[in-house]
Amino acid sequence: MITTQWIALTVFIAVYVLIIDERVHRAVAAMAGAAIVIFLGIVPWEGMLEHLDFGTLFLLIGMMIIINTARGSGIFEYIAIRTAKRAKGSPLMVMLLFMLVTAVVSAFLDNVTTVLLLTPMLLYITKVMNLKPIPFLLAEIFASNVGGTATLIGDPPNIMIASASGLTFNEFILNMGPIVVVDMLILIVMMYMIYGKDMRVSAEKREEFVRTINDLDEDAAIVDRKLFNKSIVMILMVVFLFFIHSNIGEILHVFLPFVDPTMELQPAEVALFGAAIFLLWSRAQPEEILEKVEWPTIFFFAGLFIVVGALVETGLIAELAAWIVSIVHTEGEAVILISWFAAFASALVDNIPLTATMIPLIQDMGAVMDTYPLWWALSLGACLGGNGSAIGASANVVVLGIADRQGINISFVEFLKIGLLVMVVTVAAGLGVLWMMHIM
Amino acid sequence: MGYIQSLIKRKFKDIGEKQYEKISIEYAQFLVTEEELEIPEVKTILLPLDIFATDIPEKCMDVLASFDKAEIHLMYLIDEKVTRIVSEIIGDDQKEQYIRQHKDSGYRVLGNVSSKIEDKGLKSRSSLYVGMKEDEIIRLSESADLVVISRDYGESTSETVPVSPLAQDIIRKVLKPVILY
Repeated sequence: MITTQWIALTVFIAVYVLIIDERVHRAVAAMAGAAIVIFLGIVPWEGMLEHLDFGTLFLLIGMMIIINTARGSGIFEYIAIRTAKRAKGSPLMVMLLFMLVTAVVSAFLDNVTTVLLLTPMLLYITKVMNLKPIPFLLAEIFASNVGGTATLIGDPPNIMIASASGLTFNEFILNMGPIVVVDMLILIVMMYMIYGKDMRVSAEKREEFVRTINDLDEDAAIVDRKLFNKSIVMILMVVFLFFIHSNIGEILHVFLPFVDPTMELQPAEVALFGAAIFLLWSRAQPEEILEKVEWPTIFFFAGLFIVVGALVETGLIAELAAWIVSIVHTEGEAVILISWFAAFASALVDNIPLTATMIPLIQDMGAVMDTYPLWWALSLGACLGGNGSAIGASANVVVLGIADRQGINISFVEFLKIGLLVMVVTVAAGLGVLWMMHIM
Repeated sequence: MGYIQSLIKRKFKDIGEKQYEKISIEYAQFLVTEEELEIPEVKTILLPLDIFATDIPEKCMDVLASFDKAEIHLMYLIDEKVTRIVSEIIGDDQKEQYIRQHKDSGYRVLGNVSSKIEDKGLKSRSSLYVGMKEDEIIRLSESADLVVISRDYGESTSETVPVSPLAQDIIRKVLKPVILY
């Protein structure tokens, strides 16, 4: 290896270690790594702009603006209360409904926001029902990671994969959707088999719970009725635009003949368009909303892209890709290798830096094989691998952090026992579906 | 495992702790606290009525029905301040007439509310006083476990003043739990 390769690799490993350890903020670690490789000229200015994935960055910013504007209306608290009421006092129904709602919301919003908004309600319900909260919290984490796998905007790895590969929203739904449906069914059965026996409560307790929950007024959660209605319209509109982003030209051309029928909107453009329209329509204070954009996350991504870019610039990624291609001869073998490697690596380190590293690798493998199934393998492994350990995905850390604040301790080993099992089963099932769809 | 636990804390702090704190505050505005979930033993409920608060809405009746072992003390108050003004301006005879008329309507209100309460299977007793509303309610609340008061008590309300100033004063000064309807 040449000197620049050694430096790029050392910086990359150092940044990885700092991200895992988190003694230094992950954004600072990534930015510091980026600063070093830029300072030493490993990534030149033109290269930096090339490696910064603006598709991912702007999609994240756009969605953060939409979600933060909608949050002010109380819509998510409203959903949480309605879900709790629907359970009608049955702990099993609480678990099932919260898993389904978490999965669906995670598919269209980011997982961290979803669990941040639903976990307090879930903890409240378990407290009212005098139930052990851990099974519910674990089920919520797993559902969030599985649900987020379904769409292009559901999980950061999918956003990064889509931006790098040009895969559309509908392709994600068509390819990852069936996998997520199968995995959700498996997950529900697993949770029932593991925790079902702890879910029994007396009729008296059930009645008391129904009374307490029914006293909650979901309308009281709505802070601003007008904004609430606008939020529903805007979220539906943005999701609809995601569905048609790849053939929007054809649709617009029917009504506006001057629009080029081959025109496509990038997912990031959809998110930014939605954000701008929502800000205009809601009359929300832009300073307030833009302040809520998680800028450390944006800079974390940006730094990471440059650190990985240094590996690309020095040719390390190309060499690694060539080595993999020399041992993997078919797409099927590559799918297996990528999905399992991504799954176990995601369980060990955060799935975001892992995906950032794997993307250029798969791009380089494109020289000798069809990368189409490989992207799905990466999405499968990176998203579902997050379930493997307590630090595998951001949603896990957030739920465990909230639980800890409430005096509920879920140990790393306790999580690992169930999480690893869930990860192996769901990745295996997902791989089976993927195999049938693309390899057989 | 100490390292892993502190690692999760560090990661949570960086990823979502601040957001969680804001969300917790939002939830606290409409979720019942643990303390509030404990239903205190209620034996006597004081329910003041007057010329402005003459009825109890059905939703409030449902809440009262959950205290099935309590006795509800319905208390109709004629404002002593008003009677004093009538006496000073028009004379004592008119004051007596004013009290008589209001006693009649007061007993009617007490009768209506009392029969509604009994229809729900609850016990009640009624009394009618001429006195300073705020002082009387605070005095009688000392022997009650719960006070249930209308937002119209003592004065009619409007869109800009949804709770009458007198009701607000009473809520502030009474040391017992209050339900405002």
